[in-house]
This record gives sequence, structure tokens and C-alpha cells, in this order.
Amino acid sequence: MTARRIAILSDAVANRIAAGEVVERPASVVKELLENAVDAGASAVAVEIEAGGKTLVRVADDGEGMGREDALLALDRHATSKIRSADDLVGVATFGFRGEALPSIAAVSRFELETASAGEAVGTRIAAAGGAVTALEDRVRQPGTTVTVRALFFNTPARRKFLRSTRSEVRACTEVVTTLALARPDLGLTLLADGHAVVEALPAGSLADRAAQLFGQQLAATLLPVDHASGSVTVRGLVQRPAEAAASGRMAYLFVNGRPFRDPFLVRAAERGYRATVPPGVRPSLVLRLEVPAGDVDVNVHPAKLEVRFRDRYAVEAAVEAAVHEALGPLAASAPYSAGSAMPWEHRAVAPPASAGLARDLFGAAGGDDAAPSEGEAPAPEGAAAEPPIHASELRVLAQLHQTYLLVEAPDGLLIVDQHSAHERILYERAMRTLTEGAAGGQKLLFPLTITLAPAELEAVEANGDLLGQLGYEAEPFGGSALIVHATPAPHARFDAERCLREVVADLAGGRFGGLHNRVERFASTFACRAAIKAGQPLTTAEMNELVQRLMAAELPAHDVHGRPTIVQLPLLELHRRFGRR
Amino acid sequence: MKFTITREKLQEGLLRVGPSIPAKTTLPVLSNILIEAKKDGLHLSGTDLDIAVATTVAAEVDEEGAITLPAKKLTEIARELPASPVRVTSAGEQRAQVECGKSKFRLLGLPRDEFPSFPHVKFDTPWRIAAKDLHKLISHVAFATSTEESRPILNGVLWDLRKDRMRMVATNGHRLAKMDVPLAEEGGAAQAELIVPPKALEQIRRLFAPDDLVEIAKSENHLGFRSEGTQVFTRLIEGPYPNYEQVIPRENDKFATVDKIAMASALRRMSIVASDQTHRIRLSFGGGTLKFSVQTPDLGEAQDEMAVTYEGDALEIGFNAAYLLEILKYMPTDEVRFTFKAPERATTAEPVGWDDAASYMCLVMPLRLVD
Amino acid sequence: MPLHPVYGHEALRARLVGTLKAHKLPPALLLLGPPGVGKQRLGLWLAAGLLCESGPGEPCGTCHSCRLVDSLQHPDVHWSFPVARPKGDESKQVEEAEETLGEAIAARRENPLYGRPDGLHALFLPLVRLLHRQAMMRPVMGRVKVFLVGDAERLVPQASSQEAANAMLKVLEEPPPDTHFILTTTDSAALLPTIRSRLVPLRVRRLPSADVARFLREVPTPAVAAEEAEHRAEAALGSIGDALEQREDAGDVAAAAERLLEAARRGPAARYRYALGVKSFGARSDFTETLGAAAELLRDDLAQRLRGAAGGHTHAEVPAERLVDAIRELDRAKGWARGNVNPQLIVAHLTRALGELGL
Repeated sequence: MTARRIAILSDAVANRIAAGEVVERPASVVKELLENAVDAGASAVAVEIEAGGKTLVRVADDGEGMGREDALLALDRHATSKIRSADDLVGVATFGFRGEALPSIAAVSRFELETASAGEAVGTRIAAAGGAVTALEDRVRQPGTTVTVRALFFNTPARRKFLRSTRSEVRACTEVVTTLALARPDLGLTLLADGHAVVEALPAGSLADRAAQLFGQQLAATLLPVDHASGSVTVRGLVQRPAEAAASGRMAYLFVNGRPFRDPFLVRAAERGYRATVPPGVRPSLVLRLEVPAGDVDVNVHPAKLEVRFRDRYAVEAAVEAAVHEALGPLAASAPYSAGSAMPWEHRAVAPPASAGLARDLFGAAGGDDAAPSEGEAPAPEGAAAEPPIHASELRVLAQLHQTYLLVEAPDGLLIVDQHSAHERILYERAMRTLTEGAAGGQKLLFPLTITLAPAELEAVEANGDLLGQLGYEAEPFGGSALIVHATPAPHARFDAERCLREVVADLAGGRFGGLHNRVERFASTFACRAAIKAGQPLTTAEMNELVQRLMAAELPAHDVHGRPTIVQLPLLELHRRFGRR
Repeated sequence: MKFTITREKLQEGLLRVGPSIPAKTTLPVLSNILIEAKKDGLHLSGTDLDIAVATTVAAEVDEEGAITLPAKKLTEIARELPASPVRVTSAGEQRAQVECGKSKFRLLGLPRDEFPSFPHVKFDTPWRIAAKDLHKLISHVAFATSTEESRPILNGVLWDLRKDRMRMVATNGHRLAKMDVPLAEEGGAAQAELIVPPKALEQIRRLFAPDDLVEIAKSENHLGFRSEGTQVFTRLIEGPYPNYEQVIPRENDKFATVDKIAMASALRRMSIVASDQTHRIRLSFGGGTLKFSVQTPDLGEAQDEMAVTYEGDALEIGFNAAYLLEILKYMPTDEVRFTFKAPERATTAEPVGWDDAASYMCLVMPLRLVD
Repeated sequence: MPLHPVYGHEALRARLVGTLKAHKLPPALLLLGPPGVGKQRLGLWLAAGLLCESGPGEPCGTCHSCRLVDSLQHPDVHWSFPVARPKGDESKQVEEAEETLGEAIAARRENPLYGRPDGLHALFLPLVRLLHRQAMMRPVMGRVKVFLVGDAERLVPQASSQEAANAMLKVLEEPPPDTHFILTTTDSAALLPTIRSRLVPLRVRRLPSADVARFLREVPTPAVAAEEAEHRAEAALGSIGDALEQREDAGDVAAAAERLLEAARRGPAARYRYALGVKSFGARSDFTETLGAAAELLRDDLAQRLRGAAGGHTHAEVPAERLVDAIRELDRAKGWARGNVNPQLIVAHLTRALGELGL
């Protein structure tokens, strides 16, 4: 027998939960069901909608599922597995503590719940229409829960009439899924709208990877990591590089203890963190995840649960501002203090990325509610993009710092180049070219290498054999778990072919770059990351020069494949200013 | 222990042993020099566990005994002493007094017992070779060892000792160098194949003058070298060495004889554009000419050509230019003969008309060309 | 100061002497047993036995070789154990690791009683590289060389790749002929299966309390008084390490465990508050210790219950089966904690599970 996980809330508790309609549009159904899925410990959730959710919303998870008794209780108003008494309301740390979600949804739709908990041979299917249970039967299925909501608001014609256009509803649902995807990068999430995959996010290793999945590599590359703690408040996440922030199309996602919320004041606090590094009117994108002690935040303010109340709002705002400022540290020091001040070096590709396709849509949606792009049309930043680009030959490598960074003199200031990131970028582009346009010959080995691999790794070799071959690895299976290698690429003099192969294969098998949809991109990123010289490697002057030359010749020299910057710039003007010469 | 020695002799001994003593070590006793006073003189030894150097210098020994003293301090003291006889007396297991003229030092050492046992190499049936031949072997072969840690065996040099010849082989897996030197007198217990760390070879070059006759002998785990009063022992690298003979091509049927200097300068010119870290260049042989070409995607391209004597079907083959340049650098003659089979097979290079009893060859694996 | 003698494990040692004499000691051994029973000491004893100048067998303790092993100076005995993560340039990390390890060994030479490794110490890649370097050379003095790797479960991934463990595997896959590997671990499940499969496991058991007490009386300076030694040996459950480590904060660990159980009892809010109070990263060894202590508290209760006595930390009406379930939950949580699961999540789950068991 499975333990009962759902308890009926006492009236006192039910009343403490702020009253209000939960279900106002398909997106709120998606939201409630997603949160239930997460609370059930799901590791992958698939969402499917039709006609913007007006005709169908289906959420399937692989969470722990419910026993029959619990499943029935779940349809009872104010039944919740998460809270037992009013005391427990302070400091709720799961999303969907509001017992009314399922009953509220069931009350206004043709509702179907299929669920099975692990270890139970037979699960349960419950169907309801307008809140009345119409069927209760055994159903064999995988552990987890699938909720299908059809004909939403079929019995509340007024509500149904107020639904927005399908496109707008799709966007709202996308937003809900995106928000959760950012809150939980480890969760696998897909959203299918009328058969098209709108969100397809495999479990990601980091928020940065997740951002790349959701918004595209190009945009993710403009984001900087934030990691800050002041007092009991921790702020982590991503903020956009000042130089790449645009006047419109910003996204702003805030989470507290994993729960998404909206708070224009906090967004403004974050903008204060940019200080003067962005011109007025430019609105950098950000994803910030706050952790505060559970007792210091009240999440039970509004039924849609998008508002929260902090016990010490000032401390939280100060922490956010400090966090953003800290994240921008190196750039804030180098970015121009007034619009128009020239950067030491400009590259055609460093201009704000041309927003395109899906990423653009998502941004639009994200900005829709609170970004209010109505403060007058702020002019786009007039960086030095208009100036003629500096030729790489005008750059002079001065020194290697801590065997990690290269110090480069440019006509209008100083560049600091991360040697690993820079090399990674170069190798990535070269690998992409090799993989898409032809092949590179490998160095034949006098004595073949034998490498023993785990089964998953051998599979990865098999799956990527063509790409490995194109890059110059000549390998064939040898006995059960071994691989025999006859030729290896030789991308640089300090290359360790065997180690690189092992690491690439392990990364591929472990899905480290799983965020990249394109197999070739994924492979090239992995190879570039593993083949590049590492931080801490002393380089000769010739090697440093070559690295910088090649970096400048790259298509996207300013960021590595993880979206980290490769170059930090310190304009001469800024130096002059700091020394009081101007 | 009690002995008297001239300052010069003491300094000479310390200078010979000094470089084998590690600057940093996790075993404190290894920063010390082992001093053994025996009837036949003063024995000084030092080791970093990989290499051990022992030397004997003349001294007047009044009382036999042994102690270890800090090598660095002792060397510094010996350097600054006046040119008078030096008298050393031990007091107990780990104290010694050094007197010279009016200078007097008391040094704290460590008991002899803490010093690791020295390699037991018996020189009863040694191989004998002139040090200049040793130097020749080392300088033409050792360059080809690998510096990567991924295949430790290739960090060493294979030393193949026979009754009548010595062979040295080194490779990094991409290219290989091999030299045979005949032995003037037959020697050696039998044949032995040993893998020697290159840093031992440096010591041999340092310690033995070209005219010295060096005796070589081995034990289970060590190789020993001896000349006059000085002995060097090196720890061996675990084998087995890869079967290099199997990869030396026997069926190469295309031959090119080239002028070393002309080829090297052409290769250097090509390397400018091949500055890509792979140094990939393309060689085309046929009809009495050798054409070089280079194409580097984001840099440009270059061509060159030179006259060669070539026999065989036309051939296009890719190489890492750095490997070719290196091989040419170590070739002892002006003309070099290359042999080929096919674009993905090993190439050999040998000196032409070398006036020496030794024989030398290098081997290099091509870079696959893809169009 | 030379190493203290090996205490206890007579039967195991007798067996090992037999295999040593017969030249049949497997070249790759895994000494497996609870913490603090002397696995690494036993490894050094084996090394001495392999290298003893009177031939493989019981180490004589008097020959040059045995004395060098006992003073941790034998050039053919390579002892590695978890150390701090190297910080310097990648190109010099092996040298840095060698130095760090050398300093640690020098400290053990001074005082051979050492504590458990720091929570952040591990067998990082440069240490294994160092081992490779040493393994590729023939022995200096002896017939063989011996690699003793303590706390082998700390061959942890670095920069998301199993580099260190893979490197260890590589040398175990192609071991040089005259080389012995002795790995020790408290948790063989934490080793890569590929590594585990290349090692011959030997179980090192807990010691009789009398041996532990004798150790406490004879080895540490100042020696532990007889009565105190008895008392501590009793509580240490056959682990010399535990007996030595019985320290002021033992109570803290128990108190932490009590707080955990209390939070589980009090309901969701208390549980989440407690969970959020747990560090979401780092300090894993403290955390697993707390879980272990909680399990031990419950085991006590269980023992009481089975004896028919009430009391302890849990309500008397909680049946024994529930306690067993609760202990099982704690053990599972410990497993996750050793993996890379966020302690906050573990606690959230664990306290709920315990709460549902109605402790």
C-alpha cells in the first residue's frame, strides 16, 4: 500500500490561503499543473496545448504519482499534499501549495487524471466533467501523472468569451514554461503547441546552459553570471553585458527560493547595479534567483502567486543591486562612462546580436507585462560600432598574466584576453568549418593508441564517429570495450590527443553540451573546450601573438562557446579619466 | 670519521655530485651529500632517486666513517674557504666539523642510515665505449623523445646494447630517430634493451669528456656508467618499449635525394604561411622536382619548388613541417635521402655519404591530406 | 618518529604473511573497511613485508628497508591520500601535488597519528599523475615498488570529468610488472566499477575493544589513562580512529542529528525551514556525519524497543518496523549526500519521509 500523501486542509487553513480564482486562462492551467508536476518530484515534464490551450492542455510528468485515494482527494477542494496546518503556511518551499488547483481546473473543464505511483502495478484514471467525477478505473501506466484538460471553460461561457487570441495564449503558455525552465534548469521540459515544439529543453547543467537552450546560443552569450550573497540574501543568475543591452525586447525573470515572481522595484534595483554603464533607456535582460530564509518572504499574497512580500525589502533590493554590480565588475570598469566613448577595439560581431526567430518572440513575451517599453523611444547606444574596425595588426601582445590572461595593447586602450576562452572560440569556429565544409587530415601514429571506454562512451563514439573522423581521429572498435586509434588531430603543439578524445567522449556520453540542439554544434563545442589550451599554461610570445591574431580573425571573438567573455576591454579614455587627465 | 683533503679536491668532488642533488625534495635526506671516508679516498654520492652520482677523490683518511651533510651548505663553504687543507671530523651520527686555516664550521647532517641504498651495479663484464660516441648517440636521438606525460614510455630513450653495437631509439609516436654505433671491442654480459630517462643522458654528457672511455653495466633496475673515479647510475623506465622495428618500413619504393639546406629553407618559407599550429604542408614529388604547397584557411597559401633526384611514381604527401625541419637539423650530411611508399605510410630519412661508422635514420609519419 | 606498530588484525595479517611468502600477493589490492581501523597502517605494513630484506613475509622491522618504511622514508613506497586541491598553474600542478603530499607525509613522520581527511581534500588528478610518473620508473632500492592510496573513494570528478579516476584506472589497467597497488576505502561503492573490478578486495574488520584500548594506552602522547581508554574504546566500536577522534564536538553531531529528527517530527514548515538552513553545497562530510548520527540514534532506539524497553528519541508507540524504515531512509539519504545531490533537497525529502513514518 502506498502512503497517503494528500491531506484535506482544515477550514482554518483553507481560509488563510488568500481567496481568489486561480484559473483565468489556459496559461494558469499550465502553470498549476506544471507546479504540481514539479512538486511530485518529476524530472521531465511534457506540456502539450492545442489552440492556445483553449481546446487542450495536457501535462505529463514522471513524478511520484498518486495512489487512488490520493487521486480522488486531489479533486477535492483544499486537498493538498503539502500543508497540514496553518502554521505550515509560513515558509512554504514548494510551488503549488494551494489545494484548490486541481478541483478549480476540474470544475471548469472536461478533466482527466491518470496517475500511478512507483511500485504500484496498476494506476488510476479519473475523469470528471464540470467537477463531477464521471469515471474511476484502473489504468496500467508508467509511474507519474498525466492531466488532460479539454474544453476549458466549457461551462462558464463568459470566461470562455474573454479568452485572447490563440497566438497570445500560446505566448502566455510559453512564458509559463520558460519561467519554470529557468527556475529549474535540471528539469526536462517540452512544450508542444499544435504539434510544433516551442520549448525543448533537456535537463541542463547550469542556468547558463538553460538560457542557451531557451534563448539561443547567441543571446545567451551576452549574459554574465551573477553570484552574490549579502547577509541572508543570496542572488544568483544571469545579467546582460551592458554593451549588448538594447532599448527594447528585454527579458526579466525573478525567482525567490525557486518561485517566480514579479517586482518592478527589484528590476529597477538591478538596473541601478549597472550604474552608468548603460545609457538611459537601455534595458538589460536579466534572470535573477534569490534565496532568502523562508521566514523572510511571504509568498501568499496573491492567488496567481506572482507577487511576494519581503520582510526586509530594503536588504533584498540592496543585495540585488550589489549582485548585479559585482557581476559586471570587470566590464563596468572598462565600459564607456558616457555613450559615445570609444572602446579600444570593435568587431563587427560584437554589436548587439540581431535578435531573430524564437528568441525574439520569447523576449517580446517576457517583456510584455512589466518591461513597459513606453518610456519614449530611447536611442540605441551609439557605441563605436560606427567607427572603422581596428585591424588585428594594430594589436600588440604585452604580457601573459598569471599564465591565464593575455594583456594586449590596442590603439585606443587595453584588451585582456582569456587564453583558454579565446582558443576555445578559435577551435570552435575551425571545428565548425571543418565539420560543415570538409575534413581535416589527422596525424598518423606510429603506434596506435588503445583506449578502454564505458558502454555509454562507446555509444557516443559510434554516434559521432563521422564527426570524429572529419576532425582527424581515425578510430575503430577493438574487442569489447576498447577503441584503437590510428590517427589523431593535431590542432596545436600542446595537444594531448588521447586525453582530449577521452574527455570529448565522456562529455558526449554525459550530455554536457546537451543544451545545443545541433549535433554538429554540440560536438564542435565539446571538442573546442577539451582541445583548447588551458588556463595556467605558459605560452611563448609567438604563441600569444598567433592566438590574438586568430581570435581577431574569428567570427565571434568576444565570447567563448559557454557564453563567457573572451575579451575584457579597458578604453584609454577611461584610463585618462581615472588618472585625472581628462 | 676523520680526513684531510685539499680544498680543490673537495670542490671538484662536490661539483661532480652537486647537480644530481635535488633542489627540492620530499625526503629531507636527499638534499644531503653522502660522505664516506675509506682507505682509498673520499667517496661522495648524491641522488634524486632517479639519478645517482658517486665520485672518489683523493684524501688522507685517518679514521674511516660516513655521514650525510647538507650539499648546498657544504658546497658554499668549500667555495669560500681559503686555499688550505680542509680537515673534516665527525662527531656522532649526524654532526661534523669542518676546519680550514682559522675557519671552523659545525654542520648538522643526518645519519648515513637514512640515505637510500645505492644501486648495486656490477661492472665485471661492462660494455666499453668512447664518450664521444655516447655524445653522438645522445645528440642525434634524444631530441625525438616525447615530452607529453600521456605515454610515459615514450619520454624515455630506448638503449639497445649488444655485444658489438649500441643502438639508441627515441620517438614521440609521430616521428622516430634511431642510431647504431659499433663497439670497438666486444663486451657486455649479453644483450639488453633498456629505457633510460633523458635527464640521465644530460648528466652523462656533462660528466664525461669526449676522450673518456666509459664503462656501462646494468642491474635489474639501473644502468651504470663509470669512467675514472666517477659513476653515474640511472633508474630505468618500466618497459616494454613499443615494437619500433615493426613500424620501420621495408617496402618503400620511392626515393628522393635532396639538398638539406635548400629543403630546410623552403620548408621554413612554407612554415610562415603554415603557421597554423599543425604546420601542415604538402609535398609533391615527380619528374625531378619537389613542389611544396601550403594552404591555411584563414591565412593564405604559398608554393615553392626545388630540384631533387627522385625515383618512383609521382607522390603527394602531407607532413608537419616542424617534424621535417627537425629531422633535417639533426642529419649529419648535406644530402639526405627520403624513402616513401604511400601518402599514409611512414617515410624514412637517412644521411647520404656519411663518413662515420655509425648508421642513422629518422622516420616520420605523414599528416593525412584531405581535399 | 617511527610508525606505531599494527594493532589487531592478527588473522588477516597471518593470511597475508602466507601469501607474501608464497609470492602470491595480488598486485592490486583493495583494503575495505570502516574508518579508523588501520587500513592504511596495514597497507604500510604490507609494503614493508614486500620489501623486507629478509624476503617477502612478515616485516622484520630491523633491516634498512623496514626501518625506512617505518620512518616513511622508503623511496619505493609511495603513499598518497587526499590533499587540498592544487591551486597553481596547470603545468606545475604535479610538482605542487608532490610538494603538498610531501609536506603531509613529513607531518605524519613527526606525528604518525592523523585524523580523517578534510572534507574538501581529495585525490585530484595531479596526484594520480604523480603516481603515474613514479610508476613508470623501476624501483630505487627494492625488488618492487608499492603504491598505497588511502581513501580511494575520493578519486573525485574534477571540472565535470572523471579524470582522476580514469587516470588511476589507466595505471591499474596496464600495471608495470614490479609494482603493487594497495588502495583503501571505507566505501567501495563510491569507486568507479571499472576500478573496483581490477582490485582484489580484502575486508578489514573492526578491532576488539581491548586492542583499541591498548592502542590508546600505548601509542598517543600523552597516553590515555586506562579507565578513560576502556571507556572510549567501548564507544568507538572497534575503530582506533574513532577512539582518537572522540572529541568535544561529538555532542554537537548528536545535537545536529536530534535537530534533524525534531524537524521531521514537527511538520512541513519546520522541515523546510530546517532544510533551507542546511548548506546547499560544501561541508558534505559534516552533513553525512549528521545523517549517520541520526541513524545511530534510531538504532539505539530500535535496540531498546527490541529489548522491550521504551524511551529514546522516538515515541514509544512507534513500532520497530517503522524505525527500521526510518534507518533505511537515512541510509539512502546518506548515499545521495555522497553523490552530488543538493543537501537541501535531501533533507526536504528525508524529513518528509521520516515525518510520514510518524517518528
